[in-house]
Amino acid sequence: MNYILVVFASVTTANRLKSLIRKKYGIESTLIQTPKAIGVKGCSYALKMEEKYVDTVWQVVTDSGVSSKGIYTEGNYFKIR
Amino acid sequence: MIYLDNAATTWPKPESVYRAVYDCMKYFGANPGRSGHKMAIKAAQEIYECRELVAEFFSLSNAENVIFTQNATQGLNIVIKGILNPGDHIICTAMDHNSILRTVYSMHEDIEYTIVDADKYGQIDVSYLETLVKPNTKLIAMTHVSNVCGTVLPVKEVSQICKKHNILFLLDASQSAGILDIDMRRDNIDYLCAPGHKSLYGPMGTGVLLINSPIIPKPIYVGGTGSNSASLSQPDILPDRLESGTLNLPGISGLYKGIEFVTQIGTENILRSEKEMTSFLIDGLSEMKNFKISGLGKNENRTGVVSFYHTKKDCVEIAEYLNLEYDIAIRSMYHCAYLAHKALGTDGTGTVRASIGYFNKLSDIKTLLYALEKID
Repeated sequence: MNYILVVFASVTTANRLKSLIRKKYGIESTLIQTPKAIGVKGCSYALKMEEKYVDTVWQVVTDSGVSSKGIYTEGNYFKIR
Repeated sequence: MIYLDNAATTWPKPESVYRAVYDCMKYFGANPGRSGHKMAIKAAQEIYECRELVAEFFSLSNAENVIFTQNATQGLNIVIKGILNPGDHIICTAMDHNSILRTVYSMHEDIEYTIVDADKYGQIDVSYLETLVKPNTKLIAMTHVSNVCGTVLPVKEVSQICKKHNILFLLDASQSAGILDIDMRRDNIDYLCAPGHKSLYGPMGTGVLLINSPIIPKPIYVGGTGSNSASLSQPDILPDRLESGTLNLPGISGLYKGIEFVTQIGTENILRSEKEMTSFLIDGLSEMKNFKISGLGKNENRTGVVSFYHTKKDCVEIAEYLNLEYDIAIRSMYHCAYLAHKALGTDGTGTVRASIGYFNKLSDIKTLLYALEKID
């Protein structure tokens, strides 16, 4: 199974999106510290979830005004949004 | 002990609050928002859930605009010092606590300030307040409820003046959060500060600052936020911008349970319960020869904070007598609000202040009245 990382500048923003996507779409995600390789200027947090949710979660990010640093694939950290 | 000092801090707390503090320290006491291990993530989740609950409680749409502070004083300092620039004008009231007045006064060399007088019932004249607005008036800061005499000040009317003149509105909800219905959006409140440890029934060392304005205060202290560490600049995003250093996770865990408790009981039921006891106390005091009530009577726009004084006896000695002879916990003197006492006419005497909480019983008030009768 492939996973994506939705990256945020702060743990609060990450938790906000985690709450939003669970309440609205029932999407479960795991809060993790963002790997250094993704490089968002230091400490940050990401939500890890199945890749199939990429479009849905990006729509939620856009609609809600939550500030994200982008969506990356897990492993090779390729930026896909 | 009969505890009648709830305006200072509420006691006891609901059992769930004690358990939450203990459980947090014992089972997930990691630093929230600093690491990526399971316990740190759980800790961060706990913090966020409390932000959501606080936002919902005060009808704020965005949980990220909930800033955790140590107390209301810290939040008030953040807003007043973070919003006002040299040359700005602020209006506050004589019923305000020193947490507003001292903060304002500390900036008096750079800003202008006007303190609106109150009458002998602790009420302000809103029409007169509007006449004090100037082109450089940037902020009106006001207590919602007097911590000396329980008078409820006119939030809706003042917020309308702010809206009309494009002035920011800061509400000190220290004595009203958890008792009166507060809706930041409905009531046009730009900034709200409240302690977690009074009528929200959380532990001491907690407070909240809620921001309902696009104008974000400049931070008055900066440091580690667990975000954007490579930058020497404080982050722009909330809440990080105004929260540096480790948060009081055990306190916030307890605060969550406190607000949950208040929500379950309902603020209208809490107020009704306190008002019944307040009415009984005021009735009893009114029948005494030498004890006088400071402020409003029983059926008026007030909460369960009751100040009174003896025409011939020292208020501190009265409080000590109640403490030693009857194990009644009560506060006396000026209550960090000397100008309020001036307005009420008790700057010469000070007052004894009984502040009723949800866990008080009518028998507590009866015992207090019995004790006061002995020295009337």
